[in-house]
Amino acid sequence: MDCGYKEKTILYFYGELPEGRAAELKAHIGGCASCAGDLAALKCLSEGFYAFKPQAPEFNAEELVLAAGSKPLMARFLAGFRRAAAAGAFTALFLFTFQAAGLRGGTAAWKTDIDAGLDSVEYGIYNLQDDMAYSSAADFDYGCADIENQKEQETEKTA
Amino acid sequence: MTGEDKNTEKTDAELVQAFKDGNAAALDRLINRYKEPLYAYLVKLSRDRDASDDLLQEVFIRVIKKLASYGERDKFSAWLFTVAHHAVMDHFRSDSRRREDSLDSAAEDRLSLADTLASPEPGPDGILEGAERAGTVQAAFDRLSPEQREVFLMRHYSGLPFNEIADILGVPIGTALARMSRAVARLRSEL
Repeated sequence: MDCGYKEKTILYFYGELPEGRAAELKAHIGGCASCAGDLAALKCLSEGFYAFKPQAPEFNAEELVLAAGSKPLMARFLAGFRRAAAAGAFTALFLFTFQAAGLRGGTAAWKTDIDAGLDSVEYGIYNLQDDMAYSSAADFDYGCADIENQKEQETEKTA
Repeated sequence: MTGEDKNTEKTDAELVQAFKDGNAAALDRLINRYKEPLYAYLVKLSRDRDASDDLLQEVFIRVIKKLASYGERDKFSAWLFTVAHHAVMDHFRSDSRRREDSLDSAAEDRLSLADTLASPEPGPDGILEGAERAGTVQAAFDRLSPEQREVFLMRHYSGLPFNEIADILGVPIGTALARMSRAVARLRSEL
């Protein structure tokens, strides 16, 4: 027997019927043994589903990514691993270099051409700092007096 | 707050984006969020635990492969169950038992219609007669066709509304509800 409420009963059971329709269906179920039976069957079935909880197997995300062989993702992950490996290698090299220099009792500053070049720049800066530090106010006054004398001489010539 | 707690609060879309950015832990979180209902859906639908183990892995692999096509506006659970649906359908097609579990709708309809016409109409008291009755209902459910089982299972385990389930199955919502209705009638006829 199809009372016309079969599918609405299913929607009602899963809470997908609008409020007004739900009230209408509830009233219908009160007087329809077929729909009430459907509702009871759905309830019984759902309880069985809730009780059924099989243990799902464990998965490792990285293994799944490798199994998927997804090129863009793989590339991103491998790029990440490469960056981490490069950073680690650089740090290790840095530490090793200075550790070795320390053991030999010297500094690493003269070990390479780059360091020598850097040292040359550093020397230049040092000289400038030295000039500034040791130049006195008298030197400055002397420089100014010299310029003023030159100006006076030029003025006299012109006159 | 721990990193795990932060992940717990993240939405599916945020976890997907984090995974796209190279965060493998985000994928772990997504897997743990969905593997139990997905696995129950697969076991109940395929009625084969070993096959379900493989299917679950296959679903996650397909998800990773197709993640680029996942749009942020899509509901992840709907997309995930779409992938799962296709994986199960492929399994049924390639499985040697596909004749037994035929997905031929016409055959299913003929069987259901015959059963429905012949079915008595027991009332609610007649159906709910103790705990062992529940076992009988589950056994009867397992005898439904895969198409009929799938609508039930997807509604229960995905929590998606029928209009979205209909989209996943590629049928109108009326068809999805009709399958449910026929399945309920058939279940009651077997009890």
